[in-house]
Amino acid sequence: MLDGETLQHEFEGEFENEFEYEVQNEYELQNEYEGEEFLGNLVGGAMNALGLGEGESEYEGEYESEAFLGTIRRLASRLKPILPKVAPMAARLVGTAIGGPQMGAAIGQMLRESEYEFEYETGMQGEYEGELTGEFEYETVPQTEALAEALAGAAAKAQNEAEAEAYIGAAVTRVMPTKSPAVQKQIPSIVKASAQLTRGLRKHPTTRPLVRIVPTVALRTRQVLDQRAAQGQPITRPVVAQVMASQTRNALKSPIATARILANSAKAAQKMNQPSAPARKKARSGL
Amino acid sequence: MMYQQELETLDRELASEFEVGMNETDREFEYEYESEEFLPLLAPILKAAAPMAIQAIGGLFRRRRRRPQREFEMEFETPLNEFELEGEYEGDPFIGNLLRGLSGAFGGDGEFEYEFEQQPEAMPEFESTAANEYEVMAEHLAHMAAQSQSEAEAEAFIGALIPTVARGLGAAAPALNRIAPRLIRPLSQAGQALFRNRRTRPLLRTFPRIVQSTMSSLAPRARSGQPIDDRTAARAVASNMARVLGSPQRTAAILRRSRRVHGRRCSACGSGKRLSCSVNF
Repeated sequence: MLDGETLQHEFEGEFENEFEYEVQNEYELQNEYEGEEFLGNLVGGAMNALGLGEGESEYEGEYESEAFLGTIRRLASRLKPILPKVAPMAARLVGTAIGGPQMGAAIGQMLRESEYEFEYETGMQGEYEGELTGEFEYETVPQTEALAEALAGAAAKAQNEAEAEAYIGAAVTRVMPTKSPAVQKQIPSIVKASAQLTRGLRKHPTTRPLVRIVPTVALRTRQVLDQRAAQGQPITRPVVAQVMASQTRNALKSPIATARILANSAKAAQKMNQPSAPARKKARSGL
Repeated sequence: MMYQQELETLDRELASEFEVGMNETDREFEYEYESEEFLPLLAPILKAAAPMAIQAIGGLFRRRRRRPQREFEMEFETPLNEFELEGEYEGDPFIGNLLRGLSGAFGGDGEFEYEFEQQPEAMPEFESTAANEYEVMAEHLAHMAAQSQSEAEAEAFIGALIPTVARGLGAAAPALNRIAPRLIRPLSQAGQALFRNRRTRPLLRTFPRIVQSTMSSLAPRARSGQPIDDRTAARAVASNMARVLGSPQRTAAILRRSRRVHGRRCSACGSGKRLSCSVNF
């Protein structure tokens, strides 16, 4: 029988492999399709001429969605046992970083009160399918940009804490441009909280890939704060702490939502890290 | 289970870390380096700090040992006399030349060799130029880096100022998106070296200027289609760092401007009170 530590190592390896290789392979497959773009255009032109273009693209889109959905489902199943432990801790870290220990404790209390509901939601296997459909319908959520995702990916893989936090600082400010002066004043607090969150998530190899959620948390926090500022509500430090802690918890609340953020992040970062078109052409011609 | 226990203890550790306030002595040197009368004090600091920061960037081109993960638990103070370079730098030849030029400059004879040519910089004009909102934010982030409680947190603020400075450069920003990620590692290395001693921490406030001049010097290369790899970016950072930290007058002028620009927004810095500006910005 395996002891606790061995099981833990096995689990870590499984999670890392699932995330790093399975998702990467998925996008490599997509890149291959992109590499055949020229041929695809020729075929597409012929299909359009025959009035079949629309059907073809619909089929491709459907295929891509299915593959993506499968990846998310597999990732979600591995995230499921981790998230109930990580989500409250991450939210408390954010609350403490911005509002101090008292605010962190208050947020902790708030989370404890809603713990039953959270456990219930994550524990329900049947919740998966419905949630999955909901997630795919919820396409209006703006995505974080590729550079921020690439920087967050670098933070997850960085060799030391300081370098990781430098990457995450850059990723967070990348998604933070705002027209509201009140929100702008809070950017350093959000950077500080993001650094703490990164540190907390990087602490354990199993939770390290979750660093990729940080730009999404920062972006959603900024959007909520912008809305509040537009309504004339004050943007104080406790408000920022509360909003960012709740966005952190939301990002880690359900395995499907988290898996979707991670997969989208990897996809965006992959695109960012791809060589430019002339470089690809050069490589193909063997020069 | 080990995993759960570790997460719980992590939570407690980080909470207790935040309860420890910032040491007053960390800000002791902030004001002294800006005044002309303190230039004799600044020169010996720079003589040790400038080569140290540039050598740290040069370390990117050597085989590095894997560093422990829990660095924030091992924050330490390095006495300035330990900054002296130990032996010759054997890595990137450009960094080696830069280090020799620096030691010559502080000794009185040598000159720097710059790979990245820039327009001559007139300090009086630079000091009186109006600051845009991105510059104010960059200055604030640099202040936060200098006042951080841990090395890793300081790095977060240094990383954060890169996109901020890039936005402030306006038309060049699209090309800079490709450059910015390459600057993080060299700046992070130099930042770590300067943060480790409380006397050199205020020098982190020169980073917005260093980042700005580095991006300005690399942007034409990026626009003309020349590749910008990690080595090119690190050399550009090291070159601009030598330009700034190699001259006490230039460093003092940058620190003065930093204080003035930031002080307009930050009530603590504007009033000259030694308070944490993070709560007053």
